[in-house]
Amino acid sequence: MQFIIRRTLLIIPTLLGVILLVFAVTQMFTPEQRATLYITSERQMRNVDEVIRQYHLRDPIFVQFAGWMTQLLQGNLGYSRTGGGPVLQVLLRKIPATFELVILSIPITILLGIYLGVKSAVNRDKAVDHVTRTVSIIGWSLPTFWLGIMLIAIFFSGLGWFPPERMGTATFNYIYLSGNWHHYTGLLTIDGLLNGQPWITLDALRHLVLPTATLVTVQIALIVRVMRSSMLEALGKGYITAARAKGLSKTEVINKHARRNALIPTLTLSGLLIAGLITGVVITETVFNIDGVGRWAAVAAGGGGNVPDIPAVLGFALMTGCVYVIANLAVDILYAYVDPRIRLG
Amino acid sequence: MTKEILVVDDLRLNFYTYEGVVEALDGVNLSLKKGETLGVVGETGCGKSVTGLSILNLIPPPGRIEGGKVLFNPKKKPVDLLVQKEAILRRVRGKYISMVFQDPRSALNPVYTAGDQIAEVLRHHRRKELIQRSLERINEEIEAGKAGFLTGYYKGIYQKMLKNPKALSLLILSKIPIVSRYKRMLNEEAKKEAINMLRIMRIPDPERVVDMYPHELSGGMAQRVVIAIALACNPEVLIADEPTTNLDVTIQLQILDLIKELKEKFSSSIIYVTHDMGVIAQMCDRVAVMYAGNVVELADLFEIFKKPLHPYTQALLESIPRPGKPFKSIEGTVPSLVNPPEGCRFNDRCPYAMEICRKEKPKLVEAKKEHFVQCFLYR
Amino acid sequence: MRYRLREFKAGIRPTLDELKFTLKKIRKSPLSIVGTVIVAFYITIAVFAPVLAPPTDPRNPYSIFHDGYGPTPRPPGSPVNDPFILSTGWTVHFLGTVEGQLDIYYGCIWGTRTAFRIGVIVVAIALTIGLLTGSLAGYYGGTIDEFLMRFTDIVLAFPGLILAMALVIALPRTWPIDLGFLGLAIMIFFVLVFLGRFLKLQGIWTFMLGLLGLATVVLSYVWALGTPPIYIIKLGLTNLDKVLIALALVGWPGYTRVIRGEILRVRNEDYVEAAKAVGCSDFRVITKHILPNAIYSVVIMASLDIGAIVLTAAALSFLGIGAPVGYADWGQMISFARNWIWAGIENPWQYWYTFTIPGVFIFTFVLGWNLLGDAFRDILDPTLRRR
Repeated sequence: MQFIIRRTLLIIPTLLGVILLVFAVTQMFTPEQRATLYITSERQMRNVDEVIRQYHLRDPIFVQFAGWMTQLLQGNLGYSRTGGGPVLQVLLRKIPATFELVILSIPITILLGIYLGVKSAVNRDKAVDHVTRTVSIIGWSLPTFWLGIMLIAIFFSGLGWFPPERMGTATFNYIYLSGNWHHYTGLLTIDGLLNGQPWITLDALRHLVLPTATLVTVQIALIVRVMRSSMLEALGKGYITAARAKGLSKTEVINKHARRNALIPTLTLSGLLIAGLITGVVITETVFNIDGVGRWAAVAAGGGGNVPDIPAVLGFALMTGCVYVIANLAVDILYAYVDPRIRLG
Repeated sequence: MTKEILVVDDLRLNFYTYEGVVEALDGVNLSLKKGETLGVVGETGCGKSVTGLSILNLIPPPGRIEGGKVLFNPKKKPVDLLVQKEAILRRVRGKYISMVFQDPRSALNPVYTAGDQIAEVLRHHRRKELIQRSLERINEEIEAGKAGFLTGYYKGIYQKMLKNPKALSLLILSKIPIVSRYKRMLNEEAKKEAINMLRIMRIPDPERVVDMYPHELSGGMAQRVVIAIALACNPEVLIADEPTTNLDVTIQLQILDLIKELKEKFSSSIIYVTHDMGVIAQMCDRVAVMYAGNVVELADLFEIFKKPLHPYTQALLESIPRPGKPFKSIEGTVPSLVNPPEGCRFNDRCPYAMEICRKEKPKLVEAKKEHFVQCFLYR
Repeated sequence: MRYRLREFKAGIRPTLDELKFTLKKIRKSPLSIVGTVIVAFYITIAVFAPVLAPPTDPRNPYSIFHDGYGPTPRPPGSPVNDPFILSTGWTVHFLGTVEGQLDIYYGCIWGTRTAFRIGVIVVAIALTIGLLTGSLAGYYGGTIDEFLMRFTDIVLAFPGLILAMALVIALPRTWPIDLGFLGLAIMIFFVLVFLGRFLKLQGIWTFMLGLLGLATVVLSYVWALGTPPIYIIKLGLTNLDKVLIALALVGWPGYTRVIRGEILRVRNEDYVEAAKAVGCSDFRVITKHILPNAIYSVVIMASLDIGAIVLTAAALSFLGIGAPVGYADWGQMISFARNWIWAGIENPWQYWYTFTIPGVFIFTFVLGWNLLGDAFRDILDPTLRRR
């Protein structure tokens, strides 16, 4: 318990650092551009000088930082042109779509990755091993956006099985035009059931297949590679022979003894997995035209020569930074839970 | 004549590595009588540890057993362990023949508690006993009137486990997360037995130690836990592979005393592998001397120490440092087992080497009563 | 004399044996051969780009020529129509055209050069920064280590692409550098460093002095910004340059961590202590004992990183933040293909060449480097060699 508290307190300086870094980036803009970070509605932009004066945007750095922090703590991250509203609001509005995608991808990547890594290590240098390693290295070398496009080309253009985007026309009409729909969680899969329209859940899942497949294929190599090497290391240890000398079968030894130990380094890598996932989400949402935070950030960054929507990009960066730090904290705590040597010092 | 409970007959073991084929065991012959402690002594690399592992058929690739028999005879008919199916071997390992390993820290899995690891072997081999005890406890609870509404349900499950342990319904039940809590009783019984084992091992405060992780234990305590795991199911044969080499000398003494005591208590026969002649002198009834993958001499303790026949044994005893005596070592080095020399593997260092020693390999013959030597000096 | 020669040959024997073993391992592993072949193939393409795809405008070889402005892509084998382009020698679009009539073949060939530029430059910069910070942190430890690692953690707290995105939009279009003052500041820095060595200052004091020198550089430069310039050059940053800088600034922490980890691992080894015991200076210990052992992990990481950097750069180009329109860049070419993935019910894959071909280039390029990096790891890592 103490460990958890201590570890949680440690992220505070890192979070502070994240905020500082984003602030440092804001200082690279002109005061006019920075004004967008403080306003809450479009109207205020008409009198830019007023905004600059009000928020001391030409004053020394420390004053500006204090001003920005206050705004931040009040939840004001600026106004997003591409989102059509204050940044925080836009974020909250678009998060469910991204969340649905992420919550589906992470368990599949991890579980499938662990399974394949174990299989690969146990059957070292046999067919299974070579195939798994080849497939996973191919997955890792694929550009996410290209894989997405190819999957759409094959499975939608060619076979018509799984469509891109988030919902079909029928679903869209039902949710936005019929007036019967209640947004309980914002997640189509769950809301479908809660609204008593299971076909909407199915439709949402059908739309999620390709984006999830894209994300999983690219990220899985990481887990497979680490799991395989840590399994190989664990299998060479003395307690494996000792366990077999107790009379346990090979499968039991692999699953109960080796795998548990091999999971530990894999767990520490999950942090990287989450980073890769966040990156992948931006690209995947763009390719599949899903209206989540990833696509919003990509559009905001000025795709195609538009003027970049600075508060959006920075707000997104800030959010991902904090999410990543917290996710790493969770991984660290989980790591201590699994490995008694860390827990008890 | 005491019965021979374990006989190793002409065991051959090769390791197929990048550098070549390592002929690790070149026809090893041993016999273990019931109730005795057989010492296996030799230098590093002579093959004593892999002999122990071969008995249990636990040699990992790239090693492969290429010949010989391991005859295990606990009841009436001897059984060759090397040709048995894996399922049979799993029944033997841990229950009839168990092993104590050299480095207790690496023999214990760091993510499971000491108690867990002892309980594991108990659950595997003494399952019926544990189930019966659980049933007894359940019945006690019912009689004492403390039965909860789940107790009847547990009783049913445990009775079924007794009658038909491999039933499909049990398999399914054990996979469902909340329902499989019935296993809790079994685990508690196992843990109680584990605490009992720790107490027999003379570990102070066993209730606390049972929940400790291997990295929290001292070397001596960890080794006791390993011994507890080995003896938990009352094996006929215990293979002890240098159990005290990695420990301090003072702890070593305690462990040796413990092993002697436990041997009496559990009436096991022990194969004690070591490189330390002093330990041999303290612990063993008979001794097998190994060199470069062969057993070169096999006799009882007194004979080996006072009247050694094989030149290697003689040289070994000579080389034990004694105050007042000049320091004497054996000339030359152990031959590489990738390209072992022709004939007797000791011929390049043997002071009595003859022509025939360089050409043919001697067989193990009974030069005196119950005293076996593998040397052309005794034909 | 002959004796010396024999001695030398005997001394070098183990090194040669190890080298033979390395080569044998390379030959045994089919994947590493594939990786080497792929990388060699792309190096050849990049080197011979002007021959394989002669530029229509020699002053701007990286801008893909376009045969008119038609919006519909044309399949491989279509003839060139524009008279000016025909006059430069191009008669047919070997791999077809993309929306806007940009030639795919040309874009892919010169895109190889772009990929190498991006990969090699970014990795080189990131590696240098990482080596410096990692060595300092690992060797000197203490507060320096704490401070550097905190900073590394903060940069690492952002997924690479996201921070790169923010940096690309933040970097200014032109960057004024005053060479005069910069030169002066660097001279002061070196003077201080040499002073330190001359006075034979030990470890921490040398670092302090170096830090002082660095502070002098930075402060003098900042001060100079307010004074009349001596010699200003304005560095024009194209979008691609911004991407390069952004990726380098995002990529160095990985190397820092690796180097620092290796140094921490190695400095506790006995041979380092032995070297110090016979009187080696800090510098010598680092360069002759620690770095050669620590360098393997870095080499492996660098070769894997080239692939990752090219992927990230391609993603940025695909999103529109990256190379300018019409630049020979694989990611950008795929972004043009987005509207042509589905071409109607009759023949949905009619425009397959627009997205498939550049994608294959990216994929195989990255695959080659990944295989090579994996091969390096299996071959160079001393703990894995013998298994």
